[in-house]
Amino acid sequence: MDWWVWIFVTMAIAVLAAGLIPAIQRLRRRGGVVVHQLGNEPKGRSR
Amino acid sequence: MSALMQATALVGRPVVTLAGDEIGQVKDVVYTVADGRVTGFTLAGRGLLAGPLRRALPWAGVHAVGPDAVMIRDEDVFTDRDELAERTELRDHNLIGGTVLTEGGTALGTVDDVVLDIGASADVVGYRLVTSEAIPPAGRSVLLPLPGKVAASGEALVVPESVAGLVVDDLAEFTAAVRSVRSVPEGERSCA
Repeated sequence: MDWWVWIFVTMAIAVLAAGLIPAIQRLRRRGGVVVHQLGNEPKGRSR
Repeated sequence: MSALMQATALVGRPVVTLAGDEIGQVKDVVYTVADGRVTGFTLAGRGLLAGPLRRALPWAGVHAVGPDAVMIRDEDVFTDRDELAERTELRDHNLIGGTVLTEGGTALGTVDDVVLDIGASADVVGYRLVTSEAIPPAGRSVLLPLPGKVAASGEALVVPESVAGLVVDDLAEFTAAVRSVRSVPEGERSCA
């Protein structure tokens, strides 16, 4: 293959990894005890 | 009647309807600082690869918290996850691992667990701490009773000076320690 194809494929893999790794980390986040602050109303809450 | 329970024991516990359908499992215990209570749970699906669910379980929808499952009446009790807590809070405001500071600025240790008094409501009554040098020997696991309301952001948790002297080693002594700290009027707590 031409050298520019290799560069293109490498860049595509790097971009995909940069997007996928944080997404996987979000999914794999372990549960815990989360603090919901006073006066910090979540969006979409009906009043 | 109420019972003391550690919050992390609830994480991963299945959520089951009274009809016997298993809906998912508890992912996060959501604690609202304003009233010192648990307001609900975020949920994850069942199985190893299951991700978080969009729906969440408000405390009002809990029928019972048993040793093996959180029971709910039916699937109508769920609410949207955003109704319970912001996404940034779920990501960044985990109490576990947070530093406990006294109002005088002494670091007492890091939070290992949160102690709940579960009855009609689920009140946050204390933290399980891994102690710092301020409570020798450092690295010990102790229970710290809390007054009704404390400041908590997920990074630093601020408690009155007086509670530092009330740490106990086990749950049997803890009930008396909580009673003691909650019997002191709010204005006198930092004057111990």
